[in-house]
Amino acid sequence: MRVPVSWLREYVSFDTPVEELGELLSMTGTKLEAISQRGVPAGEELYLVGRVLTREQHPDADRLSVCTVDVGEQEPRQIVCGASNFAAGATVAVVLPGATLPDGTVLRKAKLRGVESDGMMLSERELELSQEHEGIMLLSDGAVPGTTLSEVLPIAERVMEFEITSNRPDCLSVYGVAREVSAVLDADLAGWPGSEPAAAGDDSIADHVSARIEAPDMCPRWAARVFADVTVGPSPPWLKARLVAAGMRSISNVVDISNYVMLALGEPTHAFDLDLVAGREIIVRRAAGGETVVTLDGQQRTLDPDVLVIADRDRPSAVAGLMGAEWSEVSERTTTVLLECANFDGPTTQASSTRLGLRTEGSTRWEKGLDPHLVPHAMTLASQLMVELCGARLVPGTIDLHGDLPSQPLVPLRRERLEHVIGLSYSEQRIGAVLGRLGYESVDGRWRVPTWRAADTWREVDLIEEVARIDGVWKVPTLMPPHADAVGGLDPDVRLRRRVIDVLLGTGLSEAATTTFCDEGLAGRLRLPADDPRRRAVRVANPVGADQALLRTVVFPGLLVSARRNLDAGRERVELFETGRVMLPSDGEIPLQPVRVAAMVAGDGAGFSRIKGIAEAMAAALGVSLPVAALDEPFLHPGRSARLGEGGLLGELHPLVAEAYGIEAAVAVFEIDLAELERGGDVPLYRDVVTYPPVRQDIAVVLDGDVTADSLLAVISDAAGELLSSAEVFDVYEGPQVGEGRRSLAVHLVFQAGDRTLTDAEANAVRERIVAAVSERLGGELRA
Amino acid sequence: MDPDTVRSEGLTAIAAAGDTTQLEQARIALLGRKAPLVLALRELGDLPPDQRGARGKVLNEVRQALEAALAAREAELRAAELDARLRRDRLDVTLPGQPVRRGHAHLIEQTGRDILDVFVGLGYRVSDGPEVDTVHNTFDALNTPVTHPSRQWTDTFYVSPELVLRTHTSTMQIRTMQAHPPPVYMATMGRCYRRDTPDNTHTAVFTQLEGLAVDRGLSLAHLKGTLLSFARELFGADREVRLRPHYFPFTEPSVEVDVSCFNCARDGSPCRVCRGEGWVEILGAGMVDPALFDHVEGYDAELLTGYAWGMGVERIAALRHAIPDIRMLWENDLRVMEQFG
Repeated sequence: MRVPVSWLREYVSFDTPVEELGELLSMTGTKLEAISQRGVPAGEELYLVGRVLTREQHPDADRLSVCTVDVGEQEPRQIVCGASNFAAGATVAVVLPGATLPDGTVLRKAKLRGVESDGMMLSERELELSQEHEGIMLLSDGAVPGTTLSEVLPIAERVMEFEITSNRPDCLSVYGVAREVSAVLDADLAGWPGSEPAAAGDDSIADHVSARIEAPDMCPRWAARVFADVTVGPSPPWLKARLVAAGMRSISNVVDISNYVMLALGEPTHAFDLDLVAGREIIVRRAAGGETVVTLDGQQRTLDPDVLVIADRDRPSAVAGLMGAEWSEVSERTTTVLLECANFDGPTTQASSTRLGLRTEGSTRWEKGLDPHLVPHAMTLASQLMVELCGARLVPGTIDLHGDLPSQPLVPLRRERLEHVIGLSYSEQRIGAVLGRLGYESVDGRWRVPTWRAADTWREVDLIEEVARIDGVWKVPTLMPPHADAVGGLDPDVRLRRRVIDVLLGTGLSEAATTTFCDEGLAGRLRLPADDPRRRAVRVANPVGADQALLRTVVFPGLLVSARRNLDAGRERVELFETGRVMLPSDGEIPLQPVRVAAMVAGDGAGFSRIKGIAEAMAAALGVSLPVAALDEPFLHPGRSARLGEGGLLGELHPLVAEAYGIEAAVAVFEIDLAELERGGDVPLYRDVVTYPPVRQDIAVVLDGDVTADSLLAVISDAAGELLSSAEVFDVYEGPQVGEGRRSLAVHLVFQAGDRTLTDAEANAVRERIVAAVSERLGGELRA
Repeated sequence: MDPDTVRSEGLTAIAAAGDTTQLEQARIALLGRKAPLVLALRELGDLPPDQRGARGKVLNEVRQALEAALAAREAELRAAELDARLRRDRLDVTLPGQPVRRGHAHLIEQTGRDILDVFVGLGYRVSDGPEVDTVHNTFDALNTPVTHPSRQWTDTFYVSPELVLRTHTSTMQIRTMQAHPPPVYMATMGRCYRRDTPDNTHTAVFTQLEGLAVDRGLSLAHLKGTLLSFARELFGADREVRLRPHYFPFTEPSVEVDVSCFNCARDGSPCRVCRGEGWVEILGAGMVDPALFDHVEGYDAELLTGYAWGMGVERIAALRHAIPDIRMLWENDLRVMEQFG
């Protein structure tokens, strides 16, 4: 909300410097975003009201005239001017040599085509009052020559720009901000702007138009007045200046009045050319399905019954609260104006705005929910300006249709509760002053909420907020809570996730964060068959782009994208992991969202062995066992693809998948639910491995090539019994010494008993059992 | 054989030995099996008994003197040789060590832990929860009016009319109160989603960190004290915090919280962090709106008060580390990530 300071001062007077006021407002809930300067930067005394005494043709230039202008000095000044929209007698704005113009140039006495010019007559644009530059600005003839221009027009304006929170549509108005200023500075607020003009004529509004509301749920109030003999034309400079300073454009006096009332009071109004209203009747109704309207911006819009329209007998003349129809627009030919001051339902307007993709100054106010009691205030101000600025005759009578209007809540406020919640003491007097300035009335120990706050303020805590914010939350002391019972800590899943992160960092991998969104093409890039469950992704109904339409069902593809980026940047080795949620459709209230850990190695040294080593180190550090068994995954190398744990995966990336990600280097990945890394309740218990030394033996057995290491170790473990404390494969040999299709696996065996030193005989007996079992069950033979 | 000559020549030869090899040669020459002194000692038995004692004494004295000199010289030479060897082994200690591959924790995780650890110290329990959540937990139970802009399809990702990608971690306020009776001191960190147009301070996916305290006797002053402790832990012991009224549907009163700038002298001169204002907005907070207690069992709005706060982890990280564009945190460029330890 942009608030010109001169406008603000019309409603509340203050001596506080603008910067300081801005700070105070920021600290009480109306956040100042910026203060900007418009118009004359300095030296306002050189800008004067002038009256053109004579105007003659320049001797050497067709487009220039030579004028004498009275600026209140003893002698008139000679000024050469290029505009043609004035004659002798015109009251104009003059700037004298030496002055700095709003665009920064300094005006000098000059000769124009040989004729001296001792000043300049100004256009509105030159003063930054509006975009108008067709000719010079003409002032009302009442202004006295020599008067400083700043007394007549806001030629030097400071504009305060505020961020207004969505609960405070009342502050989307200069008067609303003035009310905040009044409370913050404890200064008097002027009465509601506008005074009722006298109606004239023997006719009445009923002779001109009839109206009815067919959708009262969407339009709690609809009021209108009729203005006859309207002269549509430009607005006076002061009005243009205020609109432009507040960030709007000047269109014509009638439209500008409507916008001015909105900026002043926060109530959007709308002007119709009544002569264009078919049947001279207004129906506030739901649009018919498929009904179309061309709005003022030239767009044809298709409506539906959830959109409210202001229609005449035949068709919509406005989409309520959003924009008028092109055909009903006020134009230069308009002489009779129907001025609408209504109240439209917030959610209805918001829904229409979203559905039609149309947001306007009006709709952004309506959608926050406006006070229906604003209607008469807006009507008064608009009527006054219509009569004063458009020469209009106010037709007697007002249409004002409404049902029960919302009542004003009566809310208690206990001082001790206020002090309890805020942690600060307040006097009854201070409470009364703050609430009084904001428009609350004390009624029998309770507070009657002003109509413009009734939607947002109806509980004690709301009043607590009002008092606390205006009195100043910066005064609140700093205390620590007493919570003796609270014990800090990490939930088990949070602690596990940290542990996993730390372990993987220790293996040399770096932690990544990749987006949760993915695209339709992902399933194809991963070569997932049609029935693969990972194709069943949670779909976003309103994605920003097609590449973000789905939520991930696997984490590792994000790491591939990061790998590509780093490889392209010249890295020879990229090793990353991520912990994060996947979203899996389920029949429950919300999708299943397990936290996963995915790890990836790419480039130098990447391969099955490296990624498996990382998975093993992780499992060992976490004290869990993660079996690995061959299992084909469509996106992994078919010979180097495995299941990790119960539901995880591990392997080298399929070359076609790597290609789809633009990666030429070797890549291997694993991914598993964090839940599988939970050790459960058991902590590791001490085993005595020190007192009685172990016996170490190595064996090498030659086996068929398709006997896996795991099955060998299983047979060894089974045969050895409890004296075997560990068995690890440490070497693999394939070659002529063991024969085609066979290989030799070398295994470290460690035998140990917890209660005695093993004898060689004991160890040898176990070893023989192992050799026998390997031979019998796997066809393996001891390698010489 | 003249013992005095043997002694003096022997001592000279020992002194002249330049290394342990030469010394060994000298030892063999003086005290080896064929050395004149050793032969003379062996021949002592052939002398008449009356000469034997005096001669033996003289010869043994010479032998002892030579042995002592040899030992001394040997120690000397070994020390010199060790010294020379160590001098040869000297390294350029400024050369780099053997490289150790080391992972880099993501800055979001680092920053999040730094913050969460402060609150763990203050007695908060850290919990985690789902990112796709119900409209009820995200908006309705958090007292968000149906017209609130955050609910709009332009602002929030919807999965269905009842399910959204949570726009804030405040969903965990409801989930925590539903799961635990009061008092509650909870902190949480996780991904949130908003339909923002990405720019250097916004991404559609971002990380929020939030806390909730509900207990008897809590006031805005306790919130301020808590956040001051946090600000000082994270941004330095001299920090102050400032509360500014704001509006959030789920807190009343609501405040935005500024921390005094940690990057400049706060004298109004240009500063990348506070832009010369002296204060930096770091989070939103407020007293829990009593309407929230209506959505959970066992929470009496008259007996209990509470407060909550939430902050963007990327924003805090960007402020602390002078990161110009938070989108970088989601690109995982190792050149960037390695800067942060």
